[in-house]
Amino acid sequence: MIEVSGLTKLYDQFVAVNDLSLVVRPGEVLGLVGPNGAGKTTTLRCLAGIIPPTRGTIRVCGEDIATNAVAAKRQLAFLSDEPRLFEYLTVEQHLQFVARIYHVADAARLGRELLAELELSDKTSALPAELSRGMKQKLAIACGLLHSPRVIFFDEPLTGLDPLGIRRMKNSIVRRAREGAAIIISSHLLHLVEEICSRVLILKGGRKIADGTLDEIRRTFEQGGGARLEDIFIRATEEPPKVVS
Amino acid sequence: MMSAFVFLLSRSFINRTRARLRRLKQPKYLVGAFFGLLYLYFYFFQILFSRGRPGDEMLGGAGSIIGIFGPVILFLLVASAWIFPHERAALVYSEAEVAFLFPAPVSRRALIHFKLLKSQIAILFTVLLLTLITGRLFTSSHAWMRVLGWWVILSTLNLHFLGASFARTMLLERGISNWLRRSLVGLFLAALIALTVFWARQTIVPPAIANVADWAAWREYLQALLGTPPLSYLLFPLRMVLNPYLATSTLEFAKAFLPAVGVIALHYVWVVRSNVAFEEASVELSRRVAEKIAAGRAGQSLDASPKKRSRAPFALSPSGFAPVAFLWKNLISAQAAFRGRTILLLLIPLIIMAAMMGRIGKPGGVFIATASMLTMMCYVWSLFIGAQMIRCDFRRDLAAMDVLKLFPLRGWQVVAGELLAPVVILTVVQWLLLLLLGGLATFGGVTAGLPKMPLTWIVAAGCLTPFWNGLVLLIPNAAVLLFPGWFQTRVEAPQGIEVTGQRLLLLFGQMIVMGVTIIPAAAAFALGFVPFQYAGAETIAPLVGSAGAALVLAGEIALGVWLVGKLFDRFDLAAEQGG
Repeated sequence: MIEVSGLTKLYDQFVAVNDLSLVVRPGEVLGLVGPNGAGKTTTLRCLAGIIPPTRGTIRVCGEDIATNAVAAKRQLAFLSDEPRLFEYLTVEQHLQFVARIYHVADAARLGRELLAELELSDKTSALPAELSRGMKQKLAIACGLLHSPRVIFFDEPLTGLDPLGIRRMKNSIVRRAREGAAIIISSHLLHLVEEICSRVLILKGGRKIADGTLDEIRRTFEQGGGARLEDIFIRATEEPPKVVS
Repeated sequence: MMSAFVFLLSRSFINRTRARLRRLKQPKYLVGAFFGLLYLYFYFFQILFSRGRPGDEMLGGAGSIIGIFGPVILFLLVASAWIFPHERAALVYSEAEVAFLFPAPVSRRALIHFKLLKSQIAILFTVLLLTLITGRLFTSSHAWMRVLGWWVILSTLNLHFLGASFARTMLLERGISNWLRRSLVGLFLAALIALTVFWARQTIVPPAIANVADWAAWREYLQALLGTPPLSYLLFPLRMVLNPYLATSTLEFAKAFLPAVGVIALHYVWVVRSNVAFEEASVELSRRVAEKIAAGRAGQSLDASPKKRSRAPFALSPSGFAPVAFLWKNLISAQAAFRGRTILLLLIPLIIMAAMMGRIGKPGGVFIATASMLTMMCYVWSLFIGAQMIRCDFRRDLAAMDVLKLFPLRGWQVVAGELLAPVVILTVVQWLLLLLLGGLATFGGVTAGLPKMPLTWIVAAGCLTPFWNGLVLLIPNAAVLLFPGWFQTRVEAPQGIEVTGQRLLLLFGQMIVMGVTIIPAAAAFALGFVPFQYAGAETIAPLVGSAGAALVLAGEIALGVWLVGKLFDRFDLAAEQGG
């Protein structure tokens, strides 16, 4: 469960995120879309506790990320588009390190399963420098999912993955949502959002301009029943932003 | 095409300068620039502007030495370009230049011209620096001759290295392997030396061994030797290159400059007319250089892509004190700096000393005294500089701060975890040094002149060492979180004089903080030490003193870790990056 109320992030005078509120329940997948510079990544980094918000409250599984960060972070994973790995740790050592940080009891078995799912089983002793871009992304995903998080933030999760990896990643996201995880995906791949997200939130200039199911958003922007998210997105982001509470 | 290259380079330079000037609006860069300029002033200008400085006279005196050895040094540099390199011709371009210029309709010759143009900027900067260093610019009315003299030398070498790399590649393409080429060059040099020696023996009389200190006699001999054919023929073009730098009058310079420019022109024609495919190797080289630069700026090892896996120092179980995971991780990464070759290099002096001691067979000999002094110096040196050398902590992980912030750990846990590895590494090294010192003190107890090193003091130092390390390592780690902009967090992190100034400030700040924090520990040491010392218990006095000091240091470290942990919790890297 993710509950965000009045999230605002300022960089000096620049407003990156402006009074954003949202709720993502267990089993829901929220697609966070918006043009470049809309504040998607800043929002996700605030929600994950990487950067502090200027104002507002964020609760992850009922825990306030500002006042009880440790308990909140135990429940979440943040998977960014740019895998950040430790250059001298092998694939297996990355998982061992994360297992200790999160105290994952059955880490060896879970790690093996994740590596098999992500087709990294034969790379356990490889260093990041020996991995392709996609493999690095898979390793970062494996590290993020090792502790079976109940809340997952994906920032462009498919970047660098091959077609098979993309299909597996999509299936994995849907499966984890079915198992009760609350998920937010930020992506420019609108067909991905359309395919796997139960709700969509459109950000523009740091403000929320739409939030709801695809049908609700279609109605908001007076688009027909068959309108694709791409059409809605273009319509929504071309118009001057109207604030949705 | 050349106009496009000039546009690219000139606009890049102007924009970079503007960006640096704009950055000075931020106080941290303005203050940094002030101290950086102050540093430059004291390093260069103050010396150059001061009265009574050594000017042309001193360097003029050195002119004859440069005249003798200069061509030889140039010859060695030129010869090295034909002997040592083994790779194919590759010119370094930035990754952006590769991306834009290589697929563009730009001829190979134009690419070489662009490279030469870029080289000229670097050469002009180096010329300015060298002229400043050699103290010519402001001390001589002929400063412009030195500037042009350096320019001729560096431009010729640059073109020769480029031409040699093309020639080596052509030889490879014609089936002449690197070893065959080296053998031929080696044979040629050997023949040259043999002929010169033979000829010199027939014609020149060397100074008597008794006159070994008679520099004038040796100078004459060397001048005659280097003027002996066939060596003199080989050195002739190199003398032409050097002569403008050595000129003492405008007329002399004019006479020397024109032939030197002729040598440059010949080199230029050679390079430009070489039709060698360098693109593929250049792409690879440029990538490697970019990775090295990125790694260096991120505070990582310059070997950007680690090739060897490091073994885990111990098995890390999923349960237990979480900060130990950082110790485990950072010990793995630190192993990269302690490869077998490094350890061997560190051990060689010790092995040689041990062998010499064994051969002498006299415990307490001069070598024990030397070894003791050396070990002591290493220990003391490591106390102050060690924290700057072992950087497997926040300084290395700053680039991965996003990941650290994600972990479900309290700030103090992350800080404690990051401190563990460098403390452990430094302490182990220092304990080994103290152990060695203890052994040497036992051996060398009978030697007069050996620094007195009672074992109790060594034990006391050993007790204090880890706490001292904890404290001194805490300071730069706190600085990373307080002033992340002063450390390198990004590949495109700022460079320039203001950054130099910031680093100087940081160093001074660290020294001040260190000085302040050790005062209570020193007082605790004195409180424990003095009463026992005066009571006649000299053996245990240092131990009691060090125990008290260790307690105080431990308290300071605990408080420091807690405070820095709070800093970590509030740390906002995005704000730093945004700024």
